[in-house]
Amino acid sequence: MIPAETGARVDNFEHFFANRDSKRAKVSDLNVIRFPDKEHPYLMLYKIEMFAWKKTQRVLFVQKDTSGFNISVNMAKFEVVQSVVDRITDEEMKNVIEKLNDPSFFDF
Amino acid sequence: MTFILCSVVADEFGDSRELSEWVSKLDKTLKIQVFYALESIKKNPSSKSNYSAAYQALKAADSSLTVSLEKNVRDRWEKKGFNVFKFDGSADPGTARLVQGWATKFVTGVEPSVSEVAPASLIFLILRLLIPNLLQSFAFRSVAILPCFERTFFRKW
Repeated sequence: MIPAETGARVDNFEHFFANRDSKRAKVSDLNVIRFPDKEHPYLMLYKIEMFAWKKTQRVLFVQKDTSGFNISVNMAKFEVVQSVVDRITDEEMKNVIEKLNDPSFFDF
Repeated sequence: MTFILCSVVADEFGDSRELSEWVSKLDKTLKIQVFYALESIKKNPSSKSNYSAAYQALKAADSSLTVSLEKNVRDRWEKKGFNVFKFDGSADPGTARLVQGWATKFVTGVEPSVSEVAPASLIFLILRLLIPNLLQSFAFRSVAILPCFERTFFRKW
């Protein structure tokens, strides 16, 4: 509705001469978690959001409409603390590998 | 009328053989990184459906994981005039192409690139599918909402 609607209506006497209206809504929210590989040795979180908006400005019978989209990308990169890696024993590492090879470990 | 486009963009690890292959290619540091990340995320069930919750969960694990980059980039596309979006229910192919091109260029230009993400092709598929339908939806005076971490919903009333 937002970019298609044209809406600086006459709601009262004052608005007969001029009015303005604006609307904004989130239209997409895409979130991605990316696990590391050899080439990209870090964990990434992404959030890609899109908003649609519309502004209308009217003076008497002349109306100006502007519509559009805003896009925003949030990201965060995480890396493991090296001292934690150094502290892991062989036994604990075995347990880590076992869990990572279990597909149910990725069900969260 | 309701039209739903649903696409899974997370948890795409393929079968257990592919998972094992991926794990075998990780060195010790990366294995531990994935392990602690999953442990942290699993502590908060809403992490799966919410960026902020996932971010908070990972940040809370500061004894094992550290944030090395945080970034927010944004852009805006606008068009003046009355007929940006058609009223007859059809999407203006020219506008759809422009918005699609703008969104794709912006997303691919972000560094570190989102295209490094495993399901990047899926993101662009969604953009390709979504934007013309999104424009169409405005013509129908509807609202499209994609509220979910792993799924993309497109609604049209």
